[in-house]
Amino acid sequence: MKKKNPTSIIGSRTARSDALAKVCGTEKFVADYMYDGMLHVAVIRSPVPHGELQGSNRRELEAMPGVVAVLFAEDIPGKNCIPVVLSDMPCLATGNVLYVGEPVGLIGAETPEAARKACAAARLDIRPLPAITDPEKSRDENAPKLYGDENVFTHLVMRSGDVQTAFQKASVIVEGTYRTPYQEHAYLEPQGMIATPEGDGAMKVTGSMQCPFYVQDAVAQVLGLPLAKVRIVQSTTGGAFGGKEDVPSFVATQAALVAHATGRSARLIYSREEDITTTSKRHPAVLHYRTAADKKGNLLAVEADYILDGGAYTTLSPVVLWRSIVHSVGPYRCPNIKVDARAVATNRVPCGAFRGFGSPQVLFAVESQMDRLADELGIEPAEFRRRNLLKSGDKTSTGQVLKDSVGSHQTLENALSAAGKAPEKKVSSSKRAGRGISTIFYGVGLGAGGEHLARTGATVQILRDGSAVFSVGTTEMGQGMRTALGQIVAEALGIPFERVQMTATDTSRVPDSGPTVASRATTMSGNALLSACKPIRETLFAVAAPLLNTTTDKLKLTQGQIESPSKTIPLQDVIDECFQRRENLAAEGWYRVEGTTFDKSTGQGDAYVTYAWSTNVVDIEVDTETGVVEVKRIFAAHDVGRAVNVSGVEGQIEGGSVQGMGYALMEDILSEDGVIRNPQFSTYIIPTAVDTPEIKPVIVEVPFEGGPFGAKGFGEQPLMGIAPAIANAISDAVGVRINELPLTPERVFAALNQKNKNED
Amino acid sequence: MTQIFTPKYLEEALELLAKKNPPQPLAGGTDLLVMLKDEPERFSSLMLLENLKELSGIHKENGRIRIGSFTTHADIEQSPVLNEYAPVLSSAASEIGSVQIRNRGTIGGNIINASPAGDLIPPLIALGTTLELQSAKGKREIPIREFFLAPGASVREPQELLVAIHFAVPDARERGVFLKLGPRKAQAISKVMLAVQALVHHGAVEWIRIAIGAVAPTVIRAPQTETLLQGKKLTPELIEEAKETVRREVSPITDIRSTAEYRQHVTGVLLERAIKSLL
Repeated sequence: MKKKNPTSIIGSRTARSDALAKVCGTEKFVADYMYDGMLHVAVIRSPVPHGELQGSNRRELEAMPGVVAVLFAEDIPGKNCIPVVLSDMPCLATGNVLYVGEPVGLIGAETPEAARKACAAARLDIRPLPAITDPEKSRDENAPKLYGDENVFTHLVMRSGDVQTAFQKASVIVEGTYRTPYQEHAYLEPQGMIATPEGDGAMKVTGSMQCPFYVQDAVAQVLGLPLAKVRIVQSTTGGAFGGKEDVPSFVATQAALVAHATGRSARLIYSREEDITTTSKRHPAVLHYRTAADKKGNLLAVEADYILDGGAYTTLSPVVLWRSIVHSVGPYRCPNIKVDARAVATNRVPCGAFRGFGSPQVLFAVESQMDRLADELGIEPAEFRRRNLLKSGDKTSTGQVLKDSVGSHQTLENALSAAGKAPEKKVSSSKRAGRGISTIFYGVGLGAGGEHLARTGATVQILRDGSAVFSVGTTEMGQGMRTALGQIVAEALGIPFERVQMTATDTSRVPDSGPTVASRATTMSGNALLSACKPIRETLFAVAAPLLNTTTDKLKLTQGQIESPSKTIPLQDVIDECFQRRENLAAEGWYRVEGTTFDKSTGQGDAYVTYAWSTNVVDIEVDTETGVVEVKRIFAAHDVGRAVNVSGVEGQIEGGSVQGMGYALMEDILSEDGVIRNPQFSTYIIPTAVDTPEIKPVIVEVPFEGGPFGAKGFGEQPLMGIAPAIANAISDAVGVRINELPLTPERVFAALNQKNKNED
Repeated sequence: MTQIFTPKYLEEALELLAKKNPPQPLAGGTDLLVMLKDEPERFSSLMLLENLKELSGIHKENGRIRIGSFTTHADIEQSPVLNEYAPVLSSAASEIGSVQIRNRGTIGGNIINASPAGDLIPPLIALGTTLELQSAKGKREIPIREFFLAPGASVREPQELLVAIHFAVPDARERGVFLKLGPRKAQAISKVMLAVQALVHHGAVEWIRIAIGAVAPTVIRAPQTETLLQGKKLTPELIEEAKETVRREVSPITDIRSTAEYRQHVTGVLLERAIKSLL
């Protein structure tokens, strides 16, 4: 492990550079921008879950006051598709509509009111077709066929050892069916874009997004333009959590089509209801698990069969499913594995990326099963995990041998010692306390499932006055990337953090750097920035060496100065000298990940370059008379390799814990016949500050050689293990196990009732 | 376009309401503005009440407490008079929405909106409140329990404005308690809410009023449970019987917020907790 430098900004607590403006409300978001002559866009959407589109009242809409453009599929100049993993999803529906809210047409109008009015006046002529609104019925023989012969977008498997023999030899076997709901991202800023036609047929699109290069691809394809004529600029983005991975491609093409057709700027801001109703969510899942152990408490076998509800189109389901299957056995040694995972088609809103990306669903089942096994064996849940938890040198469920940066056991022990003694069971006549645990892991970066995208670019430049400016292809969405990357550049160039500036992420500044997903921004862009800083440092050293009467290999760059063994020179003097000599203090950096593998026939391979590790210990109280569960304390230990910004890491742990608690206890999109019934924050319930328990972040640092200063991506991990820890705590407190999220008072109460009946 | 009136005096406001198509009064707007976001042209005209000084203030006079209809939840929450004499009301106000909502929302708005889950309605019913409605033609008073007809509907005539509410200053020996159970700890519409005002002397109930919200089309009283408890010593057996009785008196529904079965059960739990806190 590298020795920590006390003057280093890496590992410090650095206030986020974007925080003040956001807290004070002075930051500008896309809805705050106005352009001269700007049109307002509204989207005409399908009111039915499945039907054949036969016509519209287009002429009527065109004649409405203030309406400038009415566009349908036939008006698309390029390809009618939103490219994600596949290209099955149209930009505007043609032929059949497959879900309620599917975009069918666009209105461009002089005012938002005129656009909305025209949209409300739209009449679509649709012949209704039978719909699949229950994912468990998607593969029924008589179900309407939405995708392929079986309504399966992707079927992935994992096979290792001999499951059948293992179950025969096992001392204990537990089996269960688990259900997890939709989760809505609930980012503060809804989706929004402004498209502006530029000279010689180019199109510029600015808006709220995670993945500018995805948006660029989509806009270019839909408008039929070369990529070179499409420029995407990210505006300050008010939260994303995966919800702005693929969806902004939709929003951007909708705005760009109107801009292209009219030659005027066009702005589209989704209302909260439109956003919740029609954009991606966490996949609901139904998971059947069978897990076996021997009597010494060694995990023997995992057999799982599960489905994720992909909704009406493929979108990101194949890669979400891939991450889920890699995590489907948990962070344990297990010699015998048989997992079948399917993403199925339904006439519901397409699901997509959400913090954890398919893993919270499987981890809920895995970690519930682990506790049930421990219970059957009469072993403490923590001890059962300790016996089976992966360590360096072990093989993961995909057969990957773990090498460096395996902080699994440290997270377990540190979380347990931070939590201390479990609280007394009896709190009052009606309240019982309980403690639950989960140990999980997180494959860092895109992994083998997305290796073709695993590259990033960056540019860095030192300016005349000794300040520095940098650009990356990944985005700040509230996760703190901008600050962490600023720290990395400050450290690499010896420049104060306050004098380092990141430009808005813009496709014209750096080459295609892939998406900002998979907790990859700090590590990937950090590495690209270090690669850009390298030649700049070499130039500085080459200029400094003769001034210090030494050779470059003897030099060190620290904050504000270059040191030789005998003397130092202010960095500014060297920079001045560089400008004097017309040396180049700007450079481009590039980083790509190599070496991940995955065999689709067995589900085996080196799935990710490395893993982050985590243990959550959660203390709760259950009100036995009302079924209300109150989370009192969360002790969340995370191996992050190296915390670049300690405050940022703690913020991620706290935010993720609360989002995980919402998933566990209250968040639930209610969908009936494909219609979402609670598309507002008054009815889609997420935790408030008052609901937030005491959260104790425990940072474990086992450095990762491949990360900047040893850092690993982990931003998604804090959410992933909270739900099973809470379910396990409920079981500890009151002896009922609930296999369906969210763990609402109604469900807890019903389970307690059932238990009382059984005991009578 | 919606026409906006901003009368400066109550008389002026009442005159506007006496016109053929009277404007919709707008108090704090915490309910109406949400409605207007979806249906901006729902009302042809609105009348803002914020300049009407006659509608503000909390006064204890002549043996009663009178609260102007434009008094905000925050003012009720922080009122020394209400905290001393009617904590059932001030505590309910302190749990409404968020700070921002409490700074805007008014007691009059909460009543007129006539939601079965209106937070201030159960305490007001428990306190035996009378509503003062005024029109250009004059004033009338009506007991709050006769005011509500259905969700969103009341006996208020379009020409009338709710100007104030009042109730007798509670006896110093009275106790009041407000309990609610929602999907999270704050800023959510309750699944069940319950207010009790009672005089309990040496463990026996001299009298009690029980009002329950979100379990029927309007906030309801629980007369059978009240009668059961009246004049009796609060034994565990009696409390158990009261729980069963009150569960029979409510008629909740299953909706996106909860189930009928759960609401019915929790009504009993909340009543038990409320009664025990009176002892």
